[in-house]
Amino acid sequence: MKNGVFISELHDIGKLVDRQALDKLGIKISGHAFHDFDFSLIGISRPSSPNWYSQYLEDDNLKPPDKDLLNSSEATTLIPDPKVRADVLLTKIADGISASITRLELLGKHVQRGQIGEGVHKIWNPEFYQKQGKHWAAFADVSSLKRMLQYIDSCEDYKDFFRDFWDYLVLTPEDKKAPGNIVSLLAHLELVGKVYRILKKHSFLQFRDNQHSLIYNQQPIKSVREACGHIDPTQQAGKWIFRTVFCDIGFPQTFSRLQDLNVFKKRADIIRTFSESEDTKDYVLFFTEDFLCLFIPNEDELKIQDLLRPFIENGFTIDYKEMEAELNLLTSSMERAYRGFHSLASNRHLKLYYKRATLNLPEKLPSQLCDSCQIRQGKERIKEQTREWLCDTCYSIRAMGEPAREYAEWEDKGLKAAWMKITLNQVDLPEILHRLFDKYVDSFTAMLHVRSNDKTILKESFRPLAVQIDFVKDYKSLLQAFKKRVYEIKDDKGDSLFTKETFLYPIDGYDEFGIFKVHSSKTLLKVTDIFTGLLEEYFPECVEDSPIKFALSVAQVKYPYQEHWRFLSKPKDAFNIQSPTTRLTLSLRQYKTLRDKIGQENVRLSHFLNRLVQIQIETHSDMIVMLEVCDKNNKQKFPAILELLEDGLTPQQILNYYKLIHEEDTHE
Amino acid sequence: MNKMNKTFLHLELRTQAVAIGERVKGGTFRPCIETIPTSTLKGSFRDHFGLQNVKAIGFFREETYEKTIFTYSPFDTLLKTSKVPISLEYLKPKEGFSMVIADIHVVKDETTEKLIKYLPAEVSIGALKSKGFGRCEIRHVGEVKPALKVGYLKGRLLEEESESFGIVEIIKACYGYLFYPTSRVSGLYKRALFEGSIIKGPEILIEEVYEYD
Repeated sequence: MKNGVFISELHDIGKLVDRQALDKLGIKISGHAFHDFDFSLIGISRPSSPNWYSQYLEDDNLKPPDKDLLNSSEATTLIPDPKVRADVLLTKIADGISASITRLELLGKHVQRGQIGEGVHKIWNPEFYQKQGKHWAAFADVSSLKRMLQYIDSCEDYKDFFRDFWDYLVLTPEDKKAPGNIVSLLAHLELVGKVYRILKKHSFLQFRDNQHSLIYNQQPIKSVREACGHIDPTQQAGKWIFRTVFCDIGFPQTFSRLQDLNVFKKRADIIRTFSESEDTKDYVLFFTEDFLCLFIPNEDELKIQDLLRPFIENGFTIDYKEMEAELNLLTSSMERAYRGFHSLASNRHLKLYYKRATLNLPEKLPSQLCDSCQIRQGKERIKEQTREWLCDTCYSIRAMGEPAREYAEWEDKGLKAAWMKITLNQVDLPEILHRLFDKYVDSFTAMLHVRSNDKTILKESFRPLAVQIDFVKDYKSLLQAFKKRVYEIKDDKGDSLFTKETFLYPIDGYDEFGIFKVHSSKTLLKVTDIFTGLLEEYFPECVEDSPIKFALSVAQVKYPYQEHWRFLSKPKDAFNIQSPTTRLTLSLRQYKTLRDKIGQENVRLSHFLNRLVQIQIETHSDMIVMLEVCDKNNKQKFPAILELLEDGLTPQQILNYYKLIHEEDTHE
Repeated sequence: MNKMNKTFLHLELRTQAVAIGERVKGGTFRPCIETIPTSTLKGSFRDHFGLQNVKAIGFFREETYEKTIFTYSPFDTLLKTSKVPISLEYLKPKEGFSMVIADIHVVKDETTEKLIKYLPAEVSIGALKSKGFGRCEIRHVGEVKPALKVGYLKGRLLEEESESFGIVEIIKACYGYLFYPTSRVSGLYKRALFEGSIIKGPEILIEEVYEYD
């Protein structure tokens, strides 16, 4: 056997092979692993590096979850090196918990699946693969197959593997058979790799009494089942307890100066460093600018307060929910899994906690709280005849620079500005993914012939973690596309509506947050049109039910920053907009309907809408409002209103929208 | 009786305009909170009835109020100059209501039993009392002995008083500070449980039930 590293991600490299194409060339390949491949067919010798043995995950002798992969005669015969056997066992564990659909064959049931599809099927963007115009397979002829097998021996770093085959890994599904084809191989392997490395980091191989075992948290295991437990929660418990953790990284500061916005930069810098550092990167399964999804060992092995120390010491508060469970019970749809588990008679280990990690705050502070964070002692700071009390943390944030410097100049011109925030709601996301998956299983062509009972089992077996990773990647692509397209908007003369000085991204790299000049309601509509267009492009299945929220707060430049932020930071629906006098919260479909139906300014319409609102306040009756709208004259004059009410909008929502798009223009 | 089940006096507060400020400084905008912290009520009951250390918390009824803004220019009496105008957020009755209404729950003990004798009464709470804000009528409604529940705390109360309010367990603490007067002219800040904390305590303090570990 050659020396070298073991790269768990390579266990699925065979999924990039187009078996049908090779079959036509006379090369028979069964399955996606090459452990029993006849190498004489292509005239090369069998690879022999540690990487090669990842192919044995699919060997029938090693497949049963209760098989001792460290000591059994089958395992020692096929994989002579005990360290490599341990790597194979850890990869097998990681592969199981990274699957987007529970390995149902382990339940001992035969569950009918859908058809084999071409390319990945994103449940929020079903046409994704077709739109790319590229073929998924990286290896479709003999010479490329030889290259792949040699690559298994020569590859020394998973990052090289991802870089070399990125385009194919994005297009190839983890499982080609519906409904398992909903995750890209890239997301699946990223997840397997991280989980494998964390399992390895926190376990060690022990040889005692002529037996090998892997020890984690004093718990020895030799098989997948011993570590993870049975896939059926009412059966055998697993010994290894790990955690998935969703962390919302918040801050206590309020915004009273533009420099206070530096807190975003500080947070983004720490998240990025945390997600890239060799010590911590594998704990991070995915992240956005204010959120981390972690996979970590239990508290005995790793104190979460210690892990998150870089955030805590810099004054951030982390509200986190933590699922602590046996590996086979661990999932990212935490509340759903918790309820399901506790409806069963099971004494296995599955806990769900909501907690906060923050600095230890003293019981008393003598006087003068920090004006900004209000949880630390302030010190007097005087600048330009203004006296403030700020703690060292908040003061250091102010000293980080002057973001959105141009914004202060807009005030002199009496302009209006919109503060914009795009948010991915991580609470909604797993639930929406469950709904989209259910829809896919119930109604997609590839699933039509599947029996109803099997569809139910498939829906219950969905584990959205890897799907979330893909979703977050697409969300980040949407943010970048949005940033690009706002500068391509044209005004009536065909010139660019915005420049870098009039549509500000105050914090470099924080693409969820922008501030732009608003000359007229047309400006607002053009920006919102870009967002709605991109949502339809990247997430067409989320138009009705979106975890991505868009919020705008429009006001004179001197409007309090904190009030903008208060509105932007907690968007209630997909589309949210406020001005000092109006607030509007809508689903994207409702927004689009209003956008289509309410057009030019019309004084009579304004009067009519005000009258409807008054009727509703006085009578609290939708019926009386409807009678007014259905009055013969009104129906003729304002036909759109009836359609909008029938669409679930209230008179107040319609009036608010009308007011927002007919606010007076401002000029420089 | 379970000794953990506290008895509370239920009072009803009615006002036409009230501004209980969130402690935001350094800006020209003062947002208003929608609950009445223990510190506000403690000060008010002490000032109006001479009752020391009353433990009470209040919640405005959502359907009765809306927020609006009052802009004024504070006057520095020492320098005889006006300061930069400040916009103050306050609660006023929602259309269809003549008053903003709040429910106040007072921990029943020997001191607070005396409180009932003073009611109904008129008290002032919150900011800008000199401009007519915060003038309230308070009346006694009855007594409640709420069941224990686990959930998200509504309102803000001093951590050291949590037991007095019948809180038996703090599952998740979201801390902030409330002002605690130590004399008529000075005070300090004490650690307090804020909204978002998860507790096991009387259901009147619970915003939303929490059903996990």
